[in-house]
Amino acid sequence: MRWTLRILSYGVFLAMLFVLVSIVVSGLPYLFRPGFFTAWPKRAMSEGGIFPMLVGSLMLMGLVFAISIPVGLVGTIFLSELAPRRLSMLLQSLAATMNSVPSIVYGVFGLALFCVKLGFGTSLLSASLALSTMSIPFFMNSAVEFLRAVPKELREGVISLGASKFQSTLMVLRASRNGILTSLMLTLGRAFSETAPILVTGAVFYSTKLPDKLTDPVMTLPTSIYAIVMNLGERSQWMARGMASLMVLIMIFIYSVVQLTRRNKRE
Amino acid sequence: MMKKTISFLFVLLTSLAAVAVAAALFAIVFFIFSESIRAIREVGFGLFSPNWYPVWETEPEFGIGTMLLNSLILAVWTSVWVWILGLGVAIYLHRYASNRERELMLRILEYASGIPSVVLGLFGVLILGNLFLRLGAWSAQNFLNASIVLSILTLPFMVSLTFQSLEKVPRQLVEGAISLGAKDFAVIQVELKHAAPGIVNAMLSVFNRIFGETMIVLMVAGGANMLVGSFLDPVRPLTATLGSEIGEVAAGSLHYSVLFFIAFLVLSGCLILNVLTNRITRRLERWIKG
Repeated sequence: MRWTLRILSYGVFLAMLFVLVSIVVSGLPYLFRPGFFTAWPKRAMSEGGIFPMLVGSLMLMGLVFAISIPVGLVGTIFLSELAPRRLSMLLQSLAATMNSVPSIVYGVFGLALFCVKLGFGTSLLSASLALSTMSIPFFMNSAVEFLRAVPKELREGVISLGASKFQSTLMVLRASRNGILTSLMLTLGRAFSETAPILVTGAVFYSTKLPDKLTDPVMTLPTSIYAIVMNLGERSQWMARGMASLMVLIMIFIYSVVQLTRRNKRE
Repeated sequence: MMKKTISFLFVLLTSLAAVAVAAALFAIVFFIFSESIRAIREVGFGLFSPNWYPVWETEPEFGIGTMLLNSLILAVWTSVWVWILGLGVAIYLHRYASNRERELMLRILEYASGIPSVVLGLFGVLILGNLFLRLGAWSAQNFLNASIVLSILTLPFMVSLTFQSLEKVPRQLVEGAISLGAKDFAVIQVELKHAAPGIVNAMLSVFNRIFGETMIVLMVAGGANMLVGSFLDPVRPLTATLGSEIGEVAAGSLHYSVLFFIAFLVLSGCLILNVLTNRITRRLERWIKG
């Protein structure tokens, strides 16, 4: 029993390690090409760099954060501090359900509502709204656990000293700041790596300029990887490999921060 | 007075945000359903026929039967593998692994769970695909390739959820079983029984994720609308069609509406699975308590 499971586990472990390493290594050399981060792609993505995709992804992440962090945080506060227990449980299970909805559904929803009904078109704005619809429940679901973990005595203590609900909430937030940071990083990772919703609502394969209005379409890292792998030949593949390697490195960085905060809390 | 107004506004604002999230779920269901009404009305049961020729000018056909079947076969086959492997790894990590082993494996699995699905798609096409061609498969993108890549996507998830629910089994229970003379295998049985709600939850989430995953099947499955007959056949699951065609279709056309019907199917599958998970989990919890 022990040895069968050990062999199985090492098999799975080595397979995962192989996937991680082969993706990172196969794209790593291209990250050091001159101009990889600062040049525009040229000749059907066979030369140049990934500047517009990188900036596009950053703009998208900025917008998603600007929308979903305030809403998510405020919603989380309601769930853990203010709502009656049953309502809070109900809302949380709704948020959990939304988490399990496949991401393409958010894309299709965003297309119907933001692109077509509201007339934003294929744009940075539609993509960030569609991604935010997905990220907000994700953030709430993760952050509410950390807020709930703050001991009750702390809240009661502050209230009995004459603090208002608002002040006691501030204190709970301060006490759970590590957890909130973890949730933030996980939300960032989720939004950054999601492709299907952006593909449908806001991304274009090639654009000659950076978006300068919210209603301009945008190029992003994940959708460009998809487009290159599916549509372009071998001469452009290096760029997709480079971007894939970059994305995995960024995700590893994000998860490392999460692991570090987790360890800090334990000690 | 001032203080009361502020605290009232505070409650109002926060409750609005929470309610907005709940409303979003209903809005999603409503929008997707309302866009697919036209397809249901005009195509009717033809939606489940096997032929998909959406852009044929004289008589377009909108049958998703083959794709739905392919999706289900792919999801069931892959899930079973992920369940078995994931359960095995989780039991090993929980019972036998040394602290250092466990820490290292969990960390690598966590990193692997962070690989974006589009990057896994690239891995499937460029790295696994080449391997398949070298081994003599007639198509680099095929059922088996998609199944492998989907397992890579969901295994870390399965392992970590199962591991967490095994860790939550009360220590005294295990010690009690051991002191009564239970052997290794019997101890694991006791633990599995008590972790059952969490494990079933993990299993159904894995199935749900595989069924709804779009980018990987879009890139790796091969895209041929035929019923899968062998592991090396290229296939086209539902979500692949949805992902590749929805961006290029004219808004408001019948084709557009049929694609929304597909989205509606995927969404309702997910919601039904969620309700089912809750039911089963609750029943299992009752069964454990006796």
